[in-house]
Order: sequence, then structure tokens, then C-alpha cells
Amino acid sequence: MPSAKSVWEVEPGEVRKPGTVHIAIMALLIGVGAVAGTFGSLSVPLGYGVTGFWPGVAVQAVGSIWFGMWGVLAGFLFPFISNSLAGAPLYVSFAYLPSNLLQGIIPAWAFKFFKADPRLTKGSDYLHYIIWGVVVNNLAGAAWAVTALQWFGLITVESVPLFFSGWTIGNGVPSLIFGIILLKALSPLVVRHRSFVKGWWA
Amino acid sequence: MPKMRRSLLGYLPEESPIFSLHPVTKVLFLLVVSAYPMLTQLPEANLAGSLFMLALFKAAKVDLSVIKGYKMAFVNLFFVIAIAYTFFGGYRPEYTVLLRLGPIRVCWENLRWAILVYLQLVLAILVIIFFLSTMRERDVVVGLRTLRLPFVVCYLAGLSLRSIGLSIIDFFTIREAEKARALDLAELPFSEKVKKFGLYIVPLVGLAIRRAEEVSNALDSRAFRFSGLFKGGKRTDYIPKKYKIRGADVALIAIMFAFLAAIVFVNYQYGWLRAENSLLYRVRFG
Repeated sequence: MPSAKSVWEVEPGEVRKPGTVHIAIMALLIGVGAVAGTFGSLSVPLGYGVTGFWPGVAVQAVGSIWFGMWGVLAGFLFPFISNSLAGAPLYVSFAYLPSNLLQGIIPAWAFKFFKADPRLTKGSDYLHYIIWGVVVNNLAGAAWAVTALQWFGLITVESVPLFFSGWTIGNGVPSLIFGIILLKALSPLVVRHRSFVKGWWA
Repeated sequence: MPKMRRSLLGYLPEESPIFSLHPVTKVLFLLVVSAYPMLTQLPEANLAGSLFMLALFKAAKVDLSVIKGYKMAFVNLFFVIAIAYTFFGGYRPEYTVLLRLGPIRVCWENLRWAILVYLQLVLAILVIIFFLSTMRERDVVVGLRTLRLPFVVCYLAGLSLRSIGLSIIDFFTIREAEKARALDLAELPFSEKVKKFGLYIVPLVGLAIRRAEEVSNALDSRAFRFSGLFKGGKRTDYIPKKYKIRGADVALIAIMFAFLAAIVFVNYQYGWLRAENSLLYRVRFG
């Protein structure tokens, strides 16, 4: 059983480079994320693809922690498909791209920087996930999203708190519940899998 | 019963004229025509655009029940916009108050803006529904390949779209397994249903990881290697060779770009498509 610190450490003689498995995992994550995201966008819709409950964010946060930039890119792209299927205009999906990037890249960076274990073996691992994968990433994503919606003239300044809180809570709750379940259930398998990314690309 | 072909959002009869178009025309349709409502505030223009899109649905022989499937999305969007603009639209002394609901003033200026935004979004949504109803996974790949995007990007797009279908199949398999264990989804309260659906992510991600191994092995056994976006060796594109760009494609692409250029020109040069030119701005109360 490797120690928590060793999860991110490259072993002596270990060669890591991007391969076909990363392309495959990215494409398949886009598929899973699109299904989860579409379901969320249709279940408790608040308009413009913003929803009161979006399980897709768990795929973004956890996929980025496990698969580095491949997970970040998957989380960046799948909302495009899920928003479109749920009836959001293309330019609104474009406007959300930075939000979706932030929601994946922040927890991925934090887990690597603080050497947190994705298997959540210690209390500090949970804390890092909650801070960076539930709170900070979703606040950053929501801040960008409402700015973009307002910039496009789709919402008024007065309705910013409504959409901001809708985005933050709608993403935060599923991120907390499903993210922790995903990390606990699948991280022991993923960290041993060849698709697991210790750096950013491999 | 006409022969049907699967699209990303349903089925399309084989005799649909849309099949005579090259996929790149359809990809460009999404990218170019989606920009029209973004650049046009004038509600009359967006309404005309929506009617044109409905005619296009009819001409392409798209089953209009596809739009009915989005009925709730349209209704929901209307309410969200109406609430956001009437209750959270702000107030200025020069506004015309139509109704007072306690401390809330429903003003014509806010309602007018809500109508403008709604009509803009309706057109944008119709464009995306049309695209999804007329495109197949293969069309997306061929369209992107024709635009000279790197092979890895096109392969990724194809595999991603395919994996949506696979995830949906997995999703139904999991549901059937639960039903077989006597779970009655219809009896669950809404909150429980939402929680339950969310939890399906765990097996879906697990299956995706397992499937990634199989896909990767299949790619490796065909001597595919990830060597970056632009460095890969030249490969024969078999499927794109089966499609030809015809005169109709060239004409349609030219019309789409010309129309986009015209919108940009008249908007920035003369401001004809601005909201202030709408008939709604001539409506006066009292």
C-alpha cells in the first residue's frame, strides 16, 4: 500500500508520458459528464443552463484530480454538449467555458500542491477537497458565469445574487456528496490505473 | 414507413434534403448562424429568424415533436427571464409601473427587455436543436476533419459523442438492475429521485475507466500513438473521401457568411438591429 505522499511522487525509473489511454479516458469522461450534466440541467433548471442541482460538477472536480489536464479538458468540454442538449444557446455555452475550466483546474492544482490523497485517507484530504473542490472552485466558476451572463445582457445586476447562489449551491451540494463518494469508491482503483496522472499530462 | 437515419437527437427520414449537404456545411451552420441572435437585439428580426428556423425544420423533414420535447425548457426559460427581469429588474423613476405587488414594481421597461432576451434565446435554441436533429456522430467527425482539425481532435469528438450513447446504455442497464431488485422509481419522492440519479455517476465513471482500457488497447493494437496535436504521421481519411462538397454547399456557406457580415455591418454602421428600433419601444402607457 503506497503512502499518501507517494501517490503524486514519480518512482525512480518510472517513465510517464501521455498515451492513448489518456485520450480514451478524456473522451469517455466527456460522455459520462455530458449524461450527468444534461440530467442536472433538466432536473432543477434555473435558466441559461444554470441549475439548482448539477452532478456534472463532480465529474469535473474528481476527473481533474485523477487525470490532470485530461480531466480538466473533459470538464471544460462536456458542459458544451450537456448545455446544448438541455437547450442552452451555443454562445452561452461558450461564455461558461472559463467557469468550467476553473471548476476542474482548481481542485486538481490543490491536490497536487498540498499533496492531498485522492483516496481521502486523512481528515486533511477531506478538508482540501471541500475547500478547493466544493467551495473555491464553484465560487470562482459562479463569479465568472454571472459576469458573462450579465455581459451578454441576459441577466440584470439585481438578479446576479439569484444566479450566483443558484450556481454555487447547485454545484456545491452535488460536488460535496458525489465528489466524496466518487473519490472514496474509485480512487483506490484509479491511482493504480495507468491513466492516473501524477503531473499535469502524465 | 420511410427509412430513417439516426441523428444526435432522434431520427431523420432518409429522403431529407439535409443528407445531400456536406457535413462541413452543417458544422458551419451551427457556428455561423448561432452568432446571428447574439448580434441581433431587434426582437422582430429574432422572431423572423425563429419562423425561418421552423420553416427549415419543415423543409429538412425534421419531426417537429423534437421541438415539443423542449417545450418545458422554453416555458421554464420564459418564467426565469420574466421573474429575473420583472422582480429583479431594478427600478428608475422614469420607468412605467404596470403593477405593484407589495414592495415590487412590475415595470414595462423590464418586461420589454425580458421579451427581447427571450426572443433572442428562442432563436439560438432553435439553431442548436436543428443542428442536433440533423447531425450524426459521423457528420461531426467528417465536418471537423474537412475543417483540417488535427486527427486526434476529430477522433476525440467522435469517441466523446459515441461515449454519450454508451453512457446512456449503461445508465439504463443500472436502472434495470435496480428495478430487478424491486426498486420502484415512480414511488420515490422527487428529491430522492434526483439523489438516486446523481449517484449513478459512480458506476458510470467506473465503467468509463474500464472502457478506456479497452479503447486504448484497441488504438495501440492499430499502431495509433499520441504524439501531440500536430506531429502525428499522415493517415488515410477513408470516410471523408466518401463526401463531396457540391455547389449547393459552397452557395450555402457563402450565404451564411455574407448574412453574418451584413448583420455586423448594419449593426455597427447604422444600428438597425438595436433594441431601440423595435416596435416595442414605441408602445406607451398612459
